[in-house]
Amino acid sequence: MLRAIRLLARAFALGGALGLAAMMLHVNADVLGKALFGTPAPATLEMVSYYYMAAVAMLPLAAMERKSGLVHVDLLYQHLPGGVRRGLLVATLALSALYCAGISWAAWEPAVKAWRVGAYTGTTVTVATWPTRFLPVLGFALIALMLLAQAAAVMLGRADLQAEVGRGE
Amino acid sequence: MDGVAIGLIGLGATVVLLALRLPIGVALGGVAFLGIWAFAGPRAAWGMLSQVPYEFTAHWTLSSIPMFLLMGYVSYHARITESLFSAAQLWLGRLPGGLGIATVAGAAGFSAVTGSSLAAAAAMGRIAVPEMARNGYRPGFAAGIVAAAGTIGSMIPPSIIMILYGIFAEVSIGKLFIAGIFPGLLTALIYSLAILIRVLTRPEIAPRTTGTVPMSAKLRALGDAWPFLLLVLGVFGGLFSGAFTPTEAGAVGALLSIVIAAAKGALTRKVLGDAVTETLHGAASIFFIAVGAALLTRFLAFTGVPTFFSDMIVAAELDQLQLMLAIALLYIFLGMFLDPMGCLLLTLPILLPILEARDADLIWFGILLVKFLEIGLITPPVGLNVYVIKEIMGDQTTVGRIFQGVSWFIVADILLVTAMIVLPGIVTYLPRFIE
Repeated sequence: MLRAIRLLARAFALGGALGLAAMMLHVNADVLGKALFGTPAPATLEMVSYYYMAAVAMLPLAAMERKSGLVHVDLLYQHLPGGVRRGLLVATLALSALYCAGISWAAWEPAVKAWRVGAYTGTTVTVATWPTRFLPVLGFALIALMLLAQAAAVMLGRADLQAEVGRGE
Repeated sequence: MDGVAIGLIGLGATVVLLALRLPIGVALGGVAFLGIWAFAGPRAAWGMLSQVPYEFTAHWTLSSIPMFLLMGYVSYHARITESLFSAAQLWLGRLPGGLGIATVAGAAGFSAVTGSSLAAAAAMGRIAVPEMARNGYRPGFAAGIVAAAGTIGSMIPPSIIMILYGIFAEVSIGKLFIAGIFPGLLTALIYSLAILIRVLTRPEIAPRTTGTVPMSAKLRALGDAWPFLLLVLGVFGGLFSGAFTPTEAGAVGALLSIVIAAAKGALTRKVLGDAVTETLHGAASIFFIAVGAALLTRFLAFTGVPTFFSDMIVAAELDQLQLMLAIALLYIFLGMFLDPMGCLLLTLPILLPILEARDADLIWFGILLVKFLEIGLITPPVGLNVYVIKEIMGDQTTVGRIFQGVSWFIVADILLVTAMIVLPGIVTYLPRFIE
């Protein structure tokens, strides 16, 4: 199960990397096109905003959580006894999972609606936007699973509490 | 219960949850969701949660954040800026504390290719700390210089904090960028003066470098800095001449940094892979917090909390200086334990309406805000730059020693902030030239 989540996280991150590369190349093509030939690259604004940005922001979430953890504040945590720390860590990981699952769940309905009506954007060129509506559904669902897996690992004593202190920042 | 009460309870709950180590993004977004539920019912809460994350991120202007991150990480891993430090070392090395001053110059240069202070501190720590140690600098002093010099990273453009501020405050990112240049250079200057004075009064903490460097070597070192000069000229030349927008500049800079790294023979698979991975993690992490902040902004606006605070400030009849002092104290307090991004995004929803109501210059305020957040990076107990340097230096010094080393630069910063408040022209002069 854990291996499957990690594998998916890597695959999703690869999707984010493709979005990043496409964003860089598309915008540069647009800038060069405007400067040299007076013609912008087609659908730059639409592709960057809806496809590449959504991919870069949503897809690497699970990989990011696994590698460095969500950014948090270490104020009291280090000064608490080990047992309390473990409990707090499980609780915050589970709450974070709930929050991410909530966003994924909430994004499902508008995504399906957009798919049914074939939502699109654009003036001169039209770009279908509905597929990108599923990116938050996927990205937030996977990070929710990753957070749950981590909560379970801490609860079962498989994760090193000391290492958990250093995560983030 | 009225809206303001729900809003205030929400703010209080956010602070408590943050202290309990709930991730910043979850605390901001989760409180906003529950708060809107309490205020306007479940339909409104789910409706907001279904729209805001997607609509906030699928945003053209925000795309400059991953692009500038990529440019910074490629420059860092391909060591595009290191030649600049070497050149500064040859030119400034013979001054008292010259190596420290060269470190500040190197950090200012690196700031022009990165949007993040942590990255600037990490990059300079890696190259300048060993050099200072080799020359007999006291470890605490050397670490303090690098931790403080890193804070220039967010002031000299590009700047991730300015991009986010520009989006939330709806002001021109190009103007913010240009407004940051002069205060950024002034920071470098005042830090250099602080080093000079410190070394003149206590020469034993930083031995003088002996031996002379021939002019030809100095000129050659300048020539070796071409990758850096090319990158900065390409990005900012194009940006400030109007050839492309700040948003496009990020993508141009990212591609240019990759091309330069390849030309310099430094573009290995590992360099590119590390840069892309760190960019994705950095971008996802920023957007995760920003989505929470966007949710919190809606919630607070719904409940009328910003108006409540704004009325309170009007009633208190604070003048501009007192208001700025109050805001500075707020940030110094929050900066003690929140990271700059969280600090910025938590406070903007409340502060912006207040400032707009008073007709404050939002460009000027944005730059001051960057300065406040930067000071938070080097003040205890949570000064992130200090921890970055501690991690690089390992057992050579302690966190306490670094905070001691940094204290002189905090004094310098306070002088500069005062100057920026009393003489707003330091910030507002340059942006007048672009429209």
